[in-house]
Amino acid sequence: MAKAIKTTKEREKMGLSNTMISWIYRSLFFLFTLLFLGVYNADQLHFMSVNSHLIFNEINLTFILNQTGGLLVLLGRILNQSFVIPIVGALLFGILLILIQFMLEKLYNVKGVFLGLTYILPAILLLYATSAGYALYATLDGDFAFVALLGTLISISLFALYRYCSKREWCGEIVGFAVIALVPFIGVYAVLSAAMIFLESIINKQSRWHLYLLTFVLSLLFLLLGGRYIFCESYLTALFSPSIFSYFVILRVLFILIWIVLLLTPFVSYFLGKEQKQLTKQTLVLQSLTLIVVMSLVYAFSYKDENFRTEMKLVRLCDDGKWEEMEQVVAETDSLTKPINAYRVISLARQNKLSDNLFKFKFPLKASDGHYLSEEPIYYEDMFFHASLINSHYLFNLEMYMQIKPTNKRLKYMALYALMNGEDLLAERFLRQLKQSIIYHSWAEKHERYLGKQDLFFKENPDLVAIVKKQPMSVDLIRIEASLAEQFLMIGKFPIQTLEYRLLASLYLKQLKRFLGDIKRIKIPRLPVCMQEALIISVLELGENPAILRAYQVDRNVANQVNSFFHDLKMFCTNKTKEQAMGIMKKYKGTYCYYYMFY
Amino acid sequence: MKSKVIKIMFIILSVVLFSCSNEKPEQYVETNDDLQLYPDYRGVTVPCNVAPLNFMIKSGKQEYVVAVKSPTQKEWVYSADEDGKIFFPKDDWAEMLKEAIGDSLQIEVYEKGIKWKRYPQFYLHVVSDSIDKYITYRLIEPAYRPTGHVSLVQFHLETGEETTIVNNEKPLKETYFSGQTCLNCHSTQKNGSGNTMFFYRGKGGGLVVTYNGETKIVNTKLGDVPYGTVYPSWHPTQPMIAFSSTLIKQYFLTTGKRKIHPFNVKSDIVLYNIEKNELSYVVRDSTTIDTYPCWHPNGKTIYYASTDSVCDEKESTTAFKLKYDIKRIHYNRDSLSWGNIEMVFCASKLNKSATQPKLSPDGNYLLFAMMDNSSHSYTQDSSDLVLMDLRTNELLSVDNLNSDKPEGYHDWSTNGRWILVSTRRENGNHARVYISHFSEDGKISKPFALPHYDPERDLDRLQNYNMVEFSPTETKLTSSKFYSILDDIEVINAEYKGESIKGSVDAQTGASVIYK
Repeated sequence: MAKAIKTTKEREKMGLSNTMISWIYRSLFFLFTLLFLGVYNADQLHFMSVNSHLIFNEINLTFILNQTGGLLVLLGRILNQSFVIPIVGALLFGILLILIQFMLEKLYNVKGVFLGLTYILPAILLLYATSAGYALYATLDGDFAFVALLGTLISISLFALYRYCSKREWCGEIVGFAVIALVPFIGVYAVLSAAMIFLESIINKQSRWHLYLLTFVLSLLFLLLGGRYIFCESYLTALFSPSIFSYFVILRVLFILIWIVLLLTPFVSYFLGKEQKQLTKQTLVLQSLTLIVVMSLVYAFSYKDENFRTEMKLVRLCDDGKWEEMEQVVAETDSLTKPINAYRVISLARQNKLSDNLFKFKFPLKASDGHYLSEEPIYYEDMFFHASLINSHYLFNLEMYMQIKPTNKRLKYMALYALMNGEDLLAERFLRQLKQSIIYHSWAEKHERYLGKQDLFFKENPDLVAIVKKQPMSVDLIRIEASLAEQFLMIGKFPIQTLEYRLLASLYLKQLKRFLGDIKRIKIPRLPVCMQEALIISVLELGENPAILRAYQVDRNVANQVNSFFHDLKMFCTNKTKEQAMGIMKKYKGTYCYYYMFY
Repeated sequence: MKSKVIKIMFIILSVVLFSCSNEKPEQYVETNDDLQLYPDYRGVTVPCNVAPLNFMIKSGKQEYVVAVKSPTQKEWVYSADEDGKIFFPKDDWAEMLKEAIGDSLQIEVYEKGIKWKRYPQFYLHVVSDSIDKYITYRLIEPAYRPTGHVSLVQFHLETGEETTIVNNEKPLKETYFSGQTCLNCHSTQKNGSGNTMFFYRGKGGGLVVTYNGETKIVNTKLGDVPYGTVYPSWHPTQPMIAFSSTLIKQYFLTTGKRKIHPFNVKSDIVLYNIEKNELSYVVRDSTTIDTYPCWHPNGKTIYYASTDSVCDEKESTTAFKLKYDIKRIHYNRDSLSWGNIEMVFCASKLNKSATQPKLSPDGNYLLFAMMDNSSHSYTQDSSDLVLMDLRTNELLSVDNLNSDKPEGYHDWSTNGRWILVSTRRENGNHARVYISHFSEDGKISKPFALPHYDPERDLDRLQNYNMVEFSPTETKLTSSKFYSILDDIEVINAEYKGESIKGSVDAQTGASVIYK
């Protein structure tokens, strides 16, 4: 049995030590939060901030505020902007988490081993902020993280206020009823406060507990009926509002866990708060262990889909125009998902290395592990922009996505579309919106200078000139469901710079006749290897005149390799051994003929 | 309620923060510099009951003073806020309009620099013709995607207040996502009865029609009427609505500023009888594509756009060759039968396409959109409005209404003195509402933009005003009421009635041939 500290002096000393140790633990947890958010989840948080939609004008503010808990959503969205520099957002998030922990410590009134309990709620909030995963592909922004944090903080503050006021006659009841009025502004968190207050009044056997029951029932009714009849949200959304869509179970579970921990506050305080545990070496160890367990659990239960993390990283690098780093990141991945491949193609195209590398990837594309609606909106705006398909169809699609989920990043692309196409009046409209944002304000101000000065715009943004030069030239019809590669095949007339894209699109779609038709129209000094392979396949498979190989100076080594591939393939077809299949894969994976035959 | 509170907060804030002393400078120099106003109300004609035409001076971040002088030389002076916005107090504005009826308000703008300077004065012409209290429209992103955030809205022209009738913010139970349901085609019967309709598309939805205070949801997409019903036109008095039943497809273009080319593959005119819950064909002809019906105010004729061209989905060029004419078909109210089809305006002869016919309340004028091809005016810069005097078949000038950008979705006010148009004139992409006065002698004045309280509202809005209509009465339906109805009542199927009518018309002579 551990030796208890008995003398008063020692107790005072240990009291000081208690406080000091609390702060040491707090600091450790804060540091953990900084690393967990600001480093480990930095790319995701950055994605959450640049894809939010926060425009400070009456229309948008009314839209945000005009929902259950609208004020909380607005505050959450404002704070969410801080994640644009993830470490800053993490700092802010960490401070608020520590504030919650501190308040819980005071409310629980626990010491010693039970101190670890005060870290449970911050830990759940950390998980909640980072566990959306592929849900972000549907929701895009990350308001929910700060909304839950602020909501929890407000709930606890209201409960603390009640506890403070309840010592005076009728003061507690006033707080209870005031909470009802907060329902339209903070939504379910007001109901949680009312519930906590009611539970406390029951536990403490207060004579007017029925009034607190009434405040709880009224706040709940207000939430449900308000959601139903004022804000026109469904029952469940009103109940969970403001929160991320209830589409993903993990988020809902975490959200309910937040409720449960909050509702347990009065009980923890009642049953454990009175027990003034004295500090012993044993409790010190237990406390430390508890904290370590909490932090380990956060890491253990955190969202860890590697593909998702890579996708988030690539989006951020693409935003920053770091093409080489993007290529490096893709090279380090084990498998390719559609978004990863999309960003791989962008990085290669921007480095003028597409032809030599397009087919050198790890087929087949792996399906992402998520039940999200569609991954396309994630890379669509980047992919089509960098592929020079910045036509009115691009604007149409951006507007279509804006109608489903407006984001500031989309507005940025819309402004760029207009500036690059010389539509100043339209660009002005989009820049005006961005000027009313936080993250893109200075970007918009800078780009406002280019209105009516397209020459200056291209002079100061030479990287965009390449994109404009590759735009299609003829008016052709395209279908909305057509993929990027299909769209290139629908274009009748395009600049010489775009020819490479079109030829690769033909190869990608295995339309060799179209490839031959296009390549004959234009003289290319040096054909990339994949195109040389395609020419050989055309001769072998389509009966094309072998003279074409000489005309395009097809390398003998390439010809030998293709011949060897088809020879090995023939052998495989005869014997069909696993070893042969593996051998072919090992030897030829990454070549166009392998892609042509197997994918 | 909450949005009202927010609005009031904004108003109080702007008044508190930006009020300045209202004094006209005594000394100034005249300048002919270009004064940029938004909206540009210079020289417009306004009704005697319109909301304050607040505007913003875009010229720069200067101090501005605006003086308004009535014909009786009474003067009001206002200072602009720091954004250059002028807000006319409601009572002052009412007095100004009263003083200037039949005449004009003279407006002077002063700008403070090193010295005060005065821009050339301009006029607002005020006429005694009043305007309907409301207009209704759909707010939707310019891509017109059927799902996403869409709302049907009414705008009070006397107060400048905008209220949502119905939105699609209620998440669907299956997905918990909002904005999954298309809302469109809101229309009001213009006899002051308050009867309205709109479509709530998708699962559990249909035609939502409120007639004599009773709302029902009707499925009008039946086996006999396989395509969705769109583009409604209420009978002026009876419980009937004409629609197009249309199969619409679209193409996109690789270059150029035109975003989309929608076209009708098949389309017929149908009639829904609300009381009998019956759906029947008015015009059903496999050799023609017929759309955009519009009842004549006498309730005896339906005007519509029609083309004899064939649209082959597989042959894309045909989609660009559809040239619509304006035709009409007669209705016998006694025998409840349809009569002759007549040619009204043969646009195809001019190698043009005419669509969206709208008749003035006295039945004397026909306003329609004319463009290079197709029937969807909002996508083509060539789309302009054309006014035809049906008494003389003469085309009248409507230059004031048109711009080099698309114009369409126009409507007449109940008294026939005002015409509204949805136009993309501001930047070629975002459709805005402009309203023109139509004088008794057939002259159209320079249109004025929708008088929002905040003059910047249409600059801040990225959505389009779509399917805009005048409405003499307020639409009382709200989202909450509607969603209650949606939960409480069953969708009923309309009953298909009667045989189809095959009508054709000789485009050369206008002679009609009817097949029954």
